[in-house]
Amino acid sequence: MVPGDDGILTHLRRGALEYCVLAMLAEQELYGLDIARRLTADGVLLASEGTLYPLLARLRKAGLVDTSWQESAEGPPRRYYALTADGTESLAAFKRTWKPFRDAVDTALQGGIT
Amino acid sequence: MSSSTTHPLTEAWLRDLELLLHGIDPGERAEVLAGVREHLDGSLPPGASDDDVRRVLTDLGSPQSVADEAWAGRAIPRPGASVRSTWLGIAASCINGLGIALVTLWSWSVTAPFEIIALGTLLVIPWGIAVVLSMLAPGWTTRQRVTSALLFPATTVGYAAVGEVAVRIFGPSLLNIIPMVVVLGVVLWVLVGLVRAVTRVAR
Repeated sequence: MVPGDDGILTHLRRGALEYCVLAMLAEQELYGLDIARRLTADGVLLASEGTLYPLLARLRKAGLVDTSWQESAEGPPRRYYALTADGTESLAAFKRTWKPFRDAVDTALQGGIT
Repeated sequence: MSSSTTHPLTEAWLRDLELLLHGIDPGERAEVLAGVREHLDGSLPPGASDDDVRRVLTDLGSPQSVADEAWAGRAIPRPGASVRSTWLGIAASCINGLGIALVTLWSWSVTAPFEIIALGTLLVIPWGIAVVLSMLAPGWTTRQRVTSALLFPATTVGYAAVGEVAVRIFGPSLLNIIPMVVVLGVVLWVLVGLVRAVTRVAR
């Protein structure tokens, strides 16, 4: 079976998306809806907003993010996510790994064309 | 609590998700549901129209897709605890298991318990491989590595010693099987513990 574009994207998201979330949190604390909006903006990283929440739960369970409640002017308090020290380290490790990986894939794909 | 999560459509959606998450760690399930609920509260003003609710639920995806993601439950590699191959420990345990099975079978044919040790030495090469694999296996503590390396000779010597003692006390008797079975039980228990320790690393 040849996976279509959606199937390929689903596979590629696995393993990369959590680090995109960590990278977002490296700059500032964000709440769930905010993260979801940013990730779905381009329609590539996140297909449906709901799948973000199991991912956030998993990140918290792994000790890579921490949550805290903060008052909101518009409604009930919001659960904000922040990077932990382990999360920062994990993100740095991913960044180190990602570039050579991306370059290797690019090189392989270009090699396939010529 | 705003009215958005009490809309019949969102309620049905959340109920479906709750059912689909049944069996997931309760803390994680509650967290996922709370996250989605907060998302709905934030996206829908109180008294939102049915169309608005439908649009927000479409963006959210199906309860099944959220549950699938939760069930995927891939452990995220933590820094320093990289997930390495577990085959070394599993291979060592398989060799140990086979060796123990062979010695157990052979022990039926011996006339004196100490012959078991002589038979055990026939398997010195596979045992050597098991020792090397045990020492290299990630996910085991030093103690577990030594245990894995010594399991086969300990079993052989254990059979011989227990058999010898039993023969001296009871003379030649079928009841002498019982202490051997006890030894086998202990050995298998240790072996299962080792396999579990190595597969726990993979998860």
